[in-house]
Amino acid sequence: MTEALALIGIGLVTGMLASSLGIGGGVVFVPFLVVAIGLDQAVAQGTSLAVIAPTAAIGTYIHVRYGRVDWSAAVPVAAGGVLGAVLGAGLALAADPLVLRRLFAALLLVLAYRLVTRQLRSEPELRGPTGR
Amino acid sequence: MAATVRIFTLGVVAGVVSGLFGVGGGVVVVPGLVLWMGLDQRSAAATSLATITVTAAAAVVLFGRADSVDWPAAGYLLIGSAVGAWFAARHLDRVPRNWLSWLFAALLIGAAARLMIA
Repeated sequence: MTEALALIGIGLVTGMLASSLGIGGGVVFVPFLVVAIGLDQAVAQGTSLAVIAPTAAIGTYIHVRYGRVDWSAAVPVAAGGVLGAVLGAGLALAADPLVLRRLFAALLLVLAYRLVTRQLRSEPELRGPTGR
Repeated sequence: MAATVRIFTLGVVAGVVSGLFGVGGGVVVVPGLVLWMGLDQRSAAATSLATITVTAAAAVVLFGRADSVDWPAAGYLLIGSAVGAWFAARHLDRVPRNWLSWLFAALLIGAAARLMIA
């Protein structure tokens, strides 16, 4: 019960982050599932993808209605993506759990670095009179 | 033709990142579409989301077959994330985006540290 509420709560916060920052939720879901819920790295990643697919489908539906999707780009990227995803998932499932976990931690550090440098560059304009 | 090959390759790279790390892969697709296809940020994000739907679904099939998905946990997360995404999209002007970005960066570093030592 507590676990269910914690999952709904983290989903709520991540959904807000994803929607307002334009990020996927996986980088939040995976560490949370490993550290707080105690899932294996591979199971946490599979579970994260199971949440991302329907969430992205809902977002896509809205974007398609506004005509924002460039299909001539989407089709080849998705075709390559399926091939890559099958490769990547196969690697993740075959990898040593500890190695996979360390690689994931390294990915988080790269993303944090990118986010911080972007923030430092864009912050002055965000402090304008209309900024909150 | 060359452009098609190039963005197909972009898709492969994004797919590997997505399947290997359990994330969407938008971090690769969005900048790729902006730099290589000349899309603006908004249609790049929309196009990226469309491709993520397909690649994440393909990866889930593999993880599911290997019994590596906790379906009840995924269900609870989905309830929260659907409501959160909808709320933030509706009230985008009132979301403190700058503050959220710093919080998110701190969260990533904390999570990375926790995963490294464990």
